[in-house]
This record gives sequence, structure tokens and C-alpha cells, in this order.
Amino acid sequence: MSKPEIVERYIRMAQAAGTDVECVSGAELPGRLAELLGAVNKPPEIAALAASGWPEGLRETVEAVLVSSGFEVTMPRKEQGGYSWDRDRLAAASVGIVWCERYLADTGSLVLASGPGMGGLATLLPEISIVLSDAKGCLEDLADFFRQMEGAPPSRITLVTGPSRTGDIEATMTKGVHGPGKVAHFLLL
Amino acid sequence: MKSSHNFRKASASAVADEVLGAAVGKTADLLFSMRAAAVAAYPGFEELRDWGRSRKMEVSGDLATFVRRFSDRLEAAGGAAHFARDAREAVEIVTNIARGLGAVAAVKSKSMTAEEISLNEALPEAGVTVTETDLGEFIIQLAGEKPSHIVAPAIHKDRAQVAALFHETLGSAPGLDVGDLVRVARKALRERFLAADIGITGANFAIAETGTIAIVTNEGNGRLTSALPAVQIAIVGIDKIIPKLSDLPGFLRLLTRSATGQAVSSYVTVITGPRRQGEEEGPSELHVVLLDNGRSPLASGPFREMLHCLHCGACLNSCPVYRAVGGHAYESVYPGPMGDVLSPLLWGMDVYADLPDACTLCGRCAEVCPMRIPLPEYHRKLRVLRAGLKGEAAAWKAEAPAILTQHPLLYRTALGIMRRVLSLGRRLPDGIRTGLPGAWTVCRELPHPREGPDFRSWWEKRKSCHE
Amino acid sequence: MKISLLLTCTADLLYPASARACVNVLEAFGVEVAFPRLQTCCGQPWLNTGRLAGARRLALHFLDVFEEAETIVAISSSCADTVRNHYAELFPDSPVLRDRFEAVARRTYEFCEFLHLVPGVKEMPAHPHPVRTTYHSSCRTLRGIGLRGVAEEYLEQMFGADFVSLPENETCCGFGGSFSVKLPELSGRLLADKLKNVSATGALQVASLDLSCLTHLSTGAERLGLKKIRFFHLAELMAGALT
Repeated sequence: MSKPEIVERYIRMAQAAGTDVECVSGAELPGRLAELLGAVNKPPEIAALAASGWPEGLRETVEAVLVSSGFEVTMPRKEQGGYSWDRDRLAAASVGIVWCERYLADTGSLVLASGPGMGGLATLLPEISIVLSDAKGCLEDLADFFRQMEGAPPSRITLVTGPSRTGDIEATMTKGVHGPGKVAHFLLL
Repeated sequence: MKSSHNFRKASASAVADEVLGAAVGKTADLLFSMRAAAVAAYPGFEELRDWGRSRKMEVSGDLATFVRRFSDRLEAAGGAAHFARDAREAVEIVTNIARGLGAVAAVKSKSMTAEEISLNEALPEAGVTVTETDLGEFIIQLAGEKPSHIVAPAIHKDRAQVAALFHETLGSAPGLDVGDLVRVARKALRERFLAADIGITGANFAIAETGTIAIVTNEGNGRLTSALPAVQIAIVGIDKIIPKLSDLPGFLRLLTRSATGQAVSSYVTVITGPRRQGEEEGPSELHVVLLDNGRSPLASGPFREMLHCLHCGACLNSCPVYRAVGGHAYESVYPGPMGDVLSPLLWGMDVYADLPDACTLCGRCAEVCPMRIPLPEYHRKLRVLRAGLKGEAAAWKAEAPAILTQHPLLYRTALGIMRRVLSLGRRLPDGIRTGLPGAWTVCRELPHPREGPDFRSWWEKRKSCHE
Repeated sequence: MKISLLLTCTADLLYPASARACVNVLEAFGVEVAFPRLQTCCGQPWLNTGRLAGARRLALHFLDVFEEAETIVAISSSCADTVRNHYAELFPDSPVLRDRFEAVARRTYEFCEFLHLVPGVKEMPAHPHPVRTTYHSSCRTLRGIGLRGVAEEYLEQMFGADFVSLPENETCCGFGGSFSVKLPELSGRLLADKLKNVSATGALQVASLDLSCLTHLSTGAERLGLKKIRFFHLAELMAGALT
């Protein structure tokens, strides 16, 4: 459904905003992920992983790569009232990995819609945020997203465009003030 | 009530402060040029401004209905809507919620509306410590100061001042560079985020159709403040309402380009009610305090379009006065051109009588305002309003010279005398330099007429030669 | 083509040479100039301080003097701006007066704008005394009249490589009418910034189309001891090039 030129535009815009974007096949993903995780030193580290939203089998693949890279994995746990994070382990995580259904070419933004176990906080608290999407999930812009949305909006929609940044001291752009300093986005072909 | 302040005195001491001038000028210039570049790169921006204005006109034309619609939809989504007529009521609502929860710690993401009601001063009295989480606001809070820009609150401080402040208050090593200072703040603030019972935010937009609020930040502190604590309280001026969710993309384009020259900020959080069944992110209670505080009367008056202000700060960055003095000289939450107009309207002409004069009528703010608010015209209108408050005697005193000027002969005679006086130049006694000439000569010499005959004599002579 | 000259009180009081130059330049391009002698001040000081009764008096006096004029050319931008953009709104309750003021507004030009639009002057001859020159484009010229780039083009034709544009040319010089005396310290700071930019160009003369800005800049330069820089209405430099 996404035309190649809008995906190209997404890549250009996202990179301009400071997101690292990479297109990979399903077969290449574990290797590339392991490479990226290998750069995070001093294991054992904790990785925060979304529990829901993933296409069939992908969460297990990612989890396996994390474990083999020396990470402990924390996920929102399902209890009777619904999902909840182990706050301490989430706060200690150095990497967060989630699935993202839609992303926007116009601004190079990820669109994270809330839902049980979707793990949005994993894109916010850790220093490194890794996001996986289907390459076909690209939309033109936010208006397009709203048009396709069925019914009432979810409790939260978060647009993420590049890393957390601040210019509050002498307008010097600095990354990673509250959220991640690095955002890596894998587009699955 | 605050006593009437003296902008001349405050601005005179601000222009004498070189660190301040350099810091404000540097950041404002940068923001100004980033805005210009972002607008130039977006071909439809002028049409988008017209569109945005017309959407806001719809709201300001029927404000009460939109406020009601927003609160109905918010409640339908599971949130709680509260109305506050003024600052006191708003503070009361917030402190009551905090007391009811037995809360002890709140984190706050930047909100000028919360500044407007002095929430930070009131919460400690209710037993709640508040931590500002926007880096600029955090710096200001540590320094015990007030923000001096509505988007970049610590614009008046340079990096050396921030390093010294962190060293003193947070015990970090002296002389850190910007990157290290940011890491120090991250660590200190992360602990506060995790420990907070309440997250206090503002909102950049409140969407009537769906009861949604949107929070825009670059740092992610707005997102953390609204996602981690169990309770979120958003303080939202009723001027923040836009009609529909489908309006949000257009307003975001206008806001972020005007504020920081970005196509979009790093984080836009669009919140519709509290967390839902089964979800692990977001507050379980969402309160929205809808603040009037002098706004609704504006809708039916001559300053209606002030309700359209997006609080983007573009007018501040464009303003020669703001750039020279920074925000504190205005002694108001809202500085710069939008503040010159809003402060007297919200808090009284008696308090802010001199702010309408803090403007050269250069017109640059109107060029950059995304909502096309006629800010220079509003400054003029406030001057008219103020003149009207000064009474008959003052009005007559101001009109008398106009009567004289209206009569060609009297005008020419007066001008002739002035010309002769000014021609004396340096031979004029010092005693003349009081009042108007005194103010003029603070930074200039008195003007002297150029050499040669005056134009009228030349014209007559020339005409008689031609005839 | 016949025009009526709006002298402006600033030129009347301080800048006779600028006014003479305007007349000479207009005539050099075949424009017949009339000078309605009963004119006084356009009323800006009242308009800008919110004293509308005074502003209305002078607007009505202007109408008396100029309503019959075919075309009106003002020597200074801010006065042209007042006539064009502010008179009509002084009479919100009188549609008749509004119409009359709007009609006059449509026939009113700033001097340089007029040359450019009406006789359509495209070319200025080279100036016989090339001196490094810069241009202060006042706020009212830019944002009131909406004239951008025209004066600069004429200056470039007259001075060639000796014309240098002024950094931060769109920033206010800090005059601002009543602002200059209500907040003189601040006005002085903006003035000093503007003159710093002038000095940086190395220019020995500054041209402008707004006489109020020129008064502020020249008396400020005198205070700061910038003795070598001279300030002119653009017409004076044009007159020099045309003789």
C-alpha cells in the first residue's frame, strides 16, 4: 500500500530528524539487531520489550536475539487488571524495543498508538530505542492517519520524531535529555 | 494585587546587562532564522496561516459552546473536566485533587498557563513538592527565578551560569559543558519522574470534537509527565481549543515551524482520556482544568484575536524590544509583543499601563505570527484605551497641540520658532534638555535643521522666478 | 503627470534639502509638482499615542488640503503609511468619511515607490562622486508601504560596487515615534546596534526613505562620535546623480 517514493521520503525526513533508519529483510533482522545490541557495552543489561502488537512470531525472534546478546528481558506482564510494567526493571533498561504499525513520510515520525501491552514506555525511558515496522506501514502524514483511524481515538497517540532533544541552554541542540538519545528504526521488507 | 510596574526602569537596567543581552539576542536570532528557513521550505505556509486563523475564528466566535463540547467529550472519554473562572479557583481545584490523593510529589512539564496561576507557589502549601522537568524550567526553578521566554524559559542564561548553578544546587563538577549539564539534569529528573504521584502538564491544543489534549515537547518531558504518574492534571486555557481532531495536523505544522523552525517537535502526545482497560501506560485519572482567567470577555471585544495565540513565541523572537531586554523586564508571565497586549487585558491596564509602549510599531511580529494576530494594531488600540482612562484634562492637553497644528498659520509660526531654536545647536542652554528634549538627548543630540533656506521659502522664491 | 507633494512636518522643520531634492528628481522625470501650502502634519504623533481626537483633526485637515489632488507623493514613508493605512479606520462610524479617506489613500504614494510605479523609472545614472553607501530600509517602508528592493536597486545603479547592503536590514532602528522618548535607554540600545551595523559596512553615507529614522540615526551617530558618516534622503543622492 505504501508507494516506494513515500517510504524514501520517510527515510529522508526521519534521518534529518536524527532517527537511524534501515531497511532489512526478515532473514537479515536478527543479525542486524545483534550487531546493534553488541554496541551496547557492559552486559548484563536489561531490555524492555513490548508484549503486544507484534506480527506472528516476531516478538519471540527479537527476544531470542536479546537473550543471546546477553540481555535480560522485561515486558509488560499480564495480570488480571491488564498489563503492567515492573517499574524498577523498566527504569533500569538500557534498550527498549517495540513494534510500530504506522509511520509518517511528511515529518519522519513514528506513530505509537496505545493499547494493552503495546509497551510505549519502552520507547521513552531507555537510552536506546529500537522500533520495528513493516515497510508497508508508511502513511503520507498525520491527516492520513486520522482519516484511516476507525472510531474514537485511542487513549494516547504519540508521534516520535528523532531522539529526545533540548535547546534550552544557549540553543545548543543536545540529544537524550529525558528520552532516548538514539532511535533506530528497522523497516521490514 | 501587583503594583504598577515601571518598564522604562526595568528595560534600562536590562539593556545595561551585557550577558543578558548577548544570551537573549543569540537564541532569539537563532530561533528567528530557523523559523524563517522552515517557513521558506514549506510552500503552503501563507495559506495555512489563513486556514488556522479561520479555524480559530470559529472557536472564538462561539467560545462557550466549544468549551462545553470539549468538556462533554472529555468526560465521555473518562476524564474529569473542571472549570476555573480565575487563578484562585484553578489553584483550589488542583490543590484539592492533590489533597484528596494524599500526594506528596508532583512533576510538571512546562506550562505557561500553570505559571499564570502561580501553581508552583501554591502546591507546597498543600504538602506537594513540585519539580519542573523541562530543562529550561528546571534551571529557572533551581535559580529561584521566573521564565523569561514562553518557549525557551532560560534564554537569559548562558552555559557558564547554568554550570555554576548546577554545581551549587546539584553538586555537579564545576564548569561542565552543555552535553554534561544535560546528563546531570537527566539523572536528577529521572528519579523525580519515577517517584511522582501527580503529573502536571499544560496542553498546546484541546480538541473539542473528541475531548483530546495534545502536548508538544522536544525533550519528552511532556510525555513522561503524562505517562508515568498515576494522576495527570492538565491546566488548559480555554483559548487552546480547536474544533476537530482533523485540525490538529495543520495546527501542529503552524506551531512547531513558528516556535522552533521544526517540521514537528520530537514528541507529540495526543491524549484522549485516562489509560483504558488493560493498558499499562498513562494515568488512571485525567483531570483537565479549563482556565478562563479573563479570556472569555476577550471573545466579544476588540482584542478577540488574542484568543487565537498559539503561544509559539515567534513574536518574541522577532521583536527588537524583547531581544534587547529579555523577558523579565516585562514582569509578566507573558513577555514580548503578545505579552504587551495580553498582560494589560488579563490583569488590568492599571498594573501594566506602560506595556503598550514597549513597542516601536515596527510590525515584524505581525509578519511572523502564525495566526496573523494584528499585534501592532492591538498595541495602538491599547494606547487609545489607556488615553481614554486618563480623563478630560489629559485629553484636552493632548488635543490642544493638534488644534494648533491644524491651523496652517499657527503651525508654520510654531515650526519657525522651533527651527530657530534648534538652529542654535550647541549654543542652547542645558536647561532646555528636560522633558521631551531631555528624554531625546538620553542617547542622541538635539536635531539641527539642515543648511539652506526652509522649503517653503525656497518654493515661493522658485515659483516667483518661474513666473 | 501632476502630483501634490506631502512635505511632512519633519522635512518642513529639519530637512529642506531632502524636500528640494524630491522636487528636483520628480521634475527630472517629467513629473509636475504642486505644493499645497496649507498642509501641516499628518497627525502621527497623536495616532501613535492613542490620542484619536487629535489624530482625527489632522486627518480631516489633510483631507481638506489634499482631497482634490490627483496624486499625492509623501517624502517620508511613515507619513505615507499613515495616510494609506490608518486614516480610514479613524472614522469607523462614518462610511462616507471612510470612503473619502480610502479614495485618497489609493492615490497616495511614498516618493521612491511613486518613481518606481508611476513614471516607471527603471534606471538611475551613475553618481559622479562614488562613495561607499548603505541603505536603511525603515520598518514603515518595508511593512507599511511594502517597498522592498527598489531603493536598493536604484542605489546599486548609482553607486555600483560602492553600494553595500546593511546587515539586519529588516530590524527596527529603535525610533518608533513616542517610543524614542518614552523608553530612551532602550531606543538608544537599538540605535547603537543599528549604527554598529552601519559602521561594519564601512559606509560613509546612509540613505533612507524615512526622515524620522534619519533624524534618530544622525543625532545618535553624533552622540556616539561617528563623525564621518552622513545621512541622506534617497532623493538627495538621486538628485546628485541626475545633475
